[in-house]
Amino acid sequence: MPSADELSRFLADVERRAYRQAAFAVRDEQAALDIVQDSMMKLAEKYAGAPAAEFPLLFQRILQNTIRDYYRRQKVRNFWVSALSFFTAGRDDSDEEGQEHIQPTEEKDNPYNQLATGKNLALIENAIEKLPARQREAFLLRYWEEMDIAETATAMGCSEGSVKTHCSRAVRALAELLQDKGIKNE
Amino acid sequence: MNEDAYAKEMIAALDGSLPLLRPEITEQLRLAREQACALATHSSYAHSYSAGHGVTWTDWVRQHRFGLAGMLLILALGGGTAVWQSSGNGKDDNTASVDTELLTGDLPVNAYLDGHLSKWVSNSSAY
Repeated sequence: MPSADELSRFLADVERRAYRQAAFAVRDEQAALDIVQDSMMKLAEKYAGAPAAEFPLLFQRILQNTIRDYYRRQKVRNFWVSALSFFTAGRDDSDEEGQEHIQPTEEKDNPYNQLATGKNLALIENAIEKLPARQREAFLLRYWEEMDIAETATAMGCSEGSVKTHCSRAVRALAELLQDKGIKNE
Repeated sequence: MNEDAYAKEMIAALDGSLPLLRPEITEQLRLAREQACALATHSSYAHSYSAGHGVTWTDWVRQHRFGLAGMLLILALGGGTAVWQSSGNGKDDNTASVDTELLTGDLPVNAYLDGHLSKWVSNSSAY
């Protein structure tokens, strides 16, 4: 059984990348933090006794599922917001607060991007955000989390062939997006 | 294009961006991590998992809470019906006996029309 220190070390190692992954996916700083926290708690609650070598895969699986749960909740929420907006369309006190939560954070308002030192970094991050969800997921798991294809497939709940396809398309899409912004692929 | 090499270049850029996260965010991540570790330390799941991947009874109850709630509801309904029937049937015993006597011809068919029937029933039930 791994010690609490091992779990702590693992989480310390992975937490920033997990936050960025969630932020790429949901484009909302607070929601990304909530997702990472939920994932950490689920890992600790359910799998604290699992072998430490299994933590990365388990955590990524939990993280991706939590991100998907967030999408589902947002979908339901958007449905009701749009349905209710039909009745409240004429009112002045519309639900601006709710809409603000749903909308992605504006780039100019994102303090993280203001802190980024290189323009290229912000461009890369924007390009990653623009990727389709599954391509981004595959790309980040495969290359950032350094999972092999089988592990990525397990974490994503799809076949290895799908992982290869998603990764390849993601890299090509990123190359095209960045080329449009003036970053050449050498 | 070498996709792997290109991807690794981008990942290197992303890795370089991690230290730039705002202190508030890193602090919140640290707090979340500490909470998770505290939960792991005090959780019984760790023990159950290590002991042959078994499941504690609290885990089992939590997993089957909806089924258990349904079963309890059915049991409560069944038990309530049984109690209601057993307590309610006694009140109708006299009427049932009159019905039986009517059917077997021990009483005239217009016995219910007799104003003294209820008195007769209560008197006969006293014995």
